[in-house]
Amino acid sequence: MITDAAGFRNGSLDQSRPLDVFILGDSFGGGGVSQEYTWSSILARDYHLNTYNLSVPASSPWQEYVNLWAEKDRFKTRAGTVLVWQLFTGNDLDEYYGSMDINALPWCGRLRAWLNRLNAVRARSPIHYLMASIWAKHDARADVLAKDFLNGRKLLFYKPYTETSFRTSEQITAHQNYAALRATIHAVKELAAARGIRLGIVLVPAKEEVYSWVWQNSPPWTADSAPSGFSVVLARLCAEEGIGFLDLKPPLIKESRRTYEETGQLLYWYDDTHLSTHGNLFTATLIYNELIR
Amino acid sequence: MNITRRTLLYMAATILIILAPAIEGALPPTLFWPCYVVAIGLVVYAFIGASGRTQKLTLILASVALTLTAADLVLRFTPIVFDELAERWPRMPLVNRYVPNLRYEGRRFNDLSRMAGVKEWWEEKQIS
Repeated sequence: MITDAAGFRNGSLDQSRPLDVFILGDSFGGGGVSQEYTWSSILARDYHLNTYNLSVPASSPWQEYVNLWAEKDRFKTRAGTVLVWQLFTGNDLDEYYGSMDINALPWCGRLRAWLNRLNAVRARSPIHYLMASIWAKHDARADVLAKDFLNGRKLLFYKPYTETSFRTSEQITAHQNYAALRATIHAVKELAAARGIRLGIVLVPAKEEVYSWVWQNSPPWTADSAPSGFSVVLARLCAEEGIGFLDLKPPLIKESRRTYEETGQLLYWYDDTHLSTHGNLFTATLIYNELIR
Repeated sequence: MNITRRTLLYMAATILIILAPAIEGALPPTLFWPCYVVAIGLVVYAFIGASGRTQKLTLILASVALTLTAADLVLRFTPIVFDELAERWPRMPLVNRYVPNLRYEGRRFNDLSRMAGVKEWWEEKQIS
């Protein structure tokens, strides 16, 4: 696993030619896999594209926008460069959203940034960590749901996603962060358009949607492939903004059965919320065909 | 009581020792500030009031502070705290970035089994 000096998951960047593709997103865009199986690496290797990955774990769409804004002048792009923005059904609406006025944000100078680094080191105190674990009000173990898969192995689910991923479109538009999400999508579109970059949004469903039949104790391969409420709302927003949109839920549900029956593999890790190597290989092809080509 | 320059110097040094866990991060002042306020009060009283009992208590407090700080520093070399790959970006702490220039190989991406704390549920996957 390799990161560059700016803190993004990239190996060497070919600066002799403009970028073909940016990947922006959270841990799904960053990839819960080895370096060679991240979307960015697959697109570079299999489709000979000059890619740069701006995805960072535990980021909200607003935080992704701020990272994009901060890096916007660093790269050579061309007319037709594509920005693939990965969003996630599970938590993108519930995470942090800040001011859309970038200049109003608390940007730090050299000294303050150095102090922030020092405080980050201090915060990793083992004694403090142990005390915080003992006094924690919420037991994280209660958030994990363990179910037996067809092969007898435990397939783990994240309980909060069994609710947040199944919100209706009405619940999505009534959510306190909906207006902020909408404003963020518009801002990213504007930022991309100002540089002649084409924006496409790819929505990653939660494992709790793709393998819902497992935690719901339903018959195998009966997950509902209808778009989630979040997907319905996003598709509408993208249509309004003229943004390409790809919902990975229907193809992932279909592929989950084929992959398991032919290879015995899952598209998500058994003990993690992220897409597995197989999941990333499959979705990278979809992204190329639907949003880039 | 006559307060000499030397007394003030010793007092400052003792306060610094008492504050060592706050500076090092083991007992952050945001949570433990009442303890620090009381401890500093005791130190000042021990040096200015020269009460034998308070001086002994100050010695105990300084020993505890030093032990805690030393223990925390040593424990930082153990894997008690999970080594995160991402951190707050120092230039704009409202957003995250990966740790820059990272070259990592090992076991990763098992957030749920780690949360559950059940070793039998761990899926073996080597990340490079």
